[in-house]
Amino acid sequence: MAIQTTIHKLDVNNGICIVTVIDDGDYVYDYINVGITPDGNTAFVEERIKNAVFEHRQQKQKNLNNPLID
Amino acid sequence: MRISVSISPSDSSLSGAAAFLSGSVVQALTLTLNALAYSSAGSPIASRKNSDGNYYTVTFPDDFVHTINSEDTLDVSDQTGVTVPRDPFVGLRSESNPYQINTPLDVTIEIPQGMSIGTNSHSVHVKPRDVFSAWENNHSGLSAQRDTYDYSSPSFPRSNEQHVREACADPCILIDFNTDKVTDSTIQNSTITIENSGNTLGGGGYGGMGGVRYVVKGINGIGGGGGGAGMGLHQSISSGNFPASPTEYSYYQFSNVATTVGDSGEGLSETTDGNFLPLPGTGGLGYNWWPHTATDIGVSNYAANGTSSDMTTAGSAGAAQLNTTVPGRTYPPLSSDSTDFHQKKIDYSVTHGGWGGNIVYFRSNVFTASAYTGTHINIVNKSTGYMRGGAGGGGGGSDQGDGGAGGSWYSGGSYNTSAAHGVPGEYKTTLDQPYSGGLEGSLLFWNTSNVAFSNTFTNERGDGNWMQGRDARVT
Repeated sequence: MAIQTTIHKLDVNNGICIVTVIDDGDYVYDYINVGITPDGNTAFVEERIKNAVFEHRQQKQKNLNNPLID
Repeated sequence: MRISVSISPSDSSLSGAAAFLSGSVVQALTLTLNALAYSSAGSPIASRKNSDGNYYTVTFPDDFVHTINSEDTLDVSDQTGVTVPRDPFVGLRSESNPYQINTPLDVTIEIPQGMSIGTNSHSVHVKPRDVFSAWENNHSGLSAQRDTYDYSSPSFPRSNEQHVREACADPCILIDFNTDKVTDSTIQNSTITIENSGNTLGGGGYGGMGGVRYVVKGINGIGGGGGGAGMGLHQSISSGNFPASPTEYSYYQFSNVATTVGDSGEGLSETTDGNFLPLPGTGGLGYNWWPHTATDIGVSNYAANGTSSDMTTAGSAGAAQLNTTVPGRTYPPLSSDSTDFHQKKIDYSVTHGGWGGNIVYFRSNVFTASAYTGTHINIVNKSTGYMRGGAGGGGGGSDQGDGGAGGSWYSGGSYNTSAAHGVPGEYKTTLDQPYSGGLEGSLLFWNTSNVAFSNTFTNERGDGNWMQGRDARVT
């Protein structure tokens, strides 16, 4: 499952890190600011994206296991 | 710069503009007011010019009157031999204080090419109590329909209280026909024409704050991300400097709103208006990203702020908090009286995005048994003019929802002919989006219950664009 991450804007002074994250064709983040700490530590950004992808996949699996019935 | 005064003297025994009018027949005072000329001459409109070169919220008549009842003139600084009157209405006012304008008017306000008028405040000129009244009376220019919700409907709980404040976007041009400015004689027979050859563009709506849901007493849910600000003409926002001073234009001001408490739906008093300080173009705070504690956000698990906006960029939404590992800084403490940060009281309406700046706002507080007629507003966008309501801010997310992005005047790199509303914030629990994005500003927001109006819109641009608001798109 390919994860495509695009960083549109990185502005440490203003705490801005705008990303788009696509996981296997699904938008996890679509031009969303995930923020960045004043020291510019990108490890936190990576951890956040990793966690967001994990949650997305978890929710997707839950939905597959519990489909809506019309 | 062109300055024209299209009146001719008819009675030399009278002073000021009254000398140009017949004493026996009520005629309209016909004036053309070049906004830039009055600014260069030192009329109050000059104080509307910001250090960035833009003007923010020009008012009529006050900004064109240097000294009431003065027959003197002011020199236009950059035009040799050109003057403007200190009081264009001298001799045509009431005899006692506050010396209201007391004659029919036929006034054209010219905004020349190169002049830019935007908005840089929220709910300073447009008071929450006024909008509350307009909303209740379903006035024209206050579209309450948004997405699948009709916020004016009684079936939408406490809708008026929730959305009044974010709708109080200040205008580029305020036409003030309150009873301390003009008399009945003026209201019942006047035409105001706005001719825009410059840039008259509303400021962008602010982004809503991230909210949170009450779980059980003392435990909040997971915070939502802030909304992005809408595109517009407003002062640059210093969003990320974590200022210590609440007087700075910053996220900090926006957080002040969380500390104000309204008594009820009637808590729309003048005294609380000033507490509502988010500025146009300000991104919404993520739920637990407080600006004044920058050292303790060194974790990946926070709700991020929405970003600010400018003339060419809409604000991006902020991401939600991911889980409860880091509880965040809660505000205010939720109790059973306030089970959601966004629902119970008007001052908790901050999760909703701010509306974009209006172009023209007309108000009159005259009270009559039946509505006055005879006031007309004509808005003309000349061939070089740019005129558009500020885009709405995105709504804040709640309960682990992302915020919504701010609205934009562009779509796919081209002019956006659709309404530039903000995107609602997400409420993760239901996957619903009830935290509304702000609406685009209006071309004409007419807010009075006792003056029936008529108006015309004319767009002289060759491309048929740039005369648009939530109330109309004029091609």
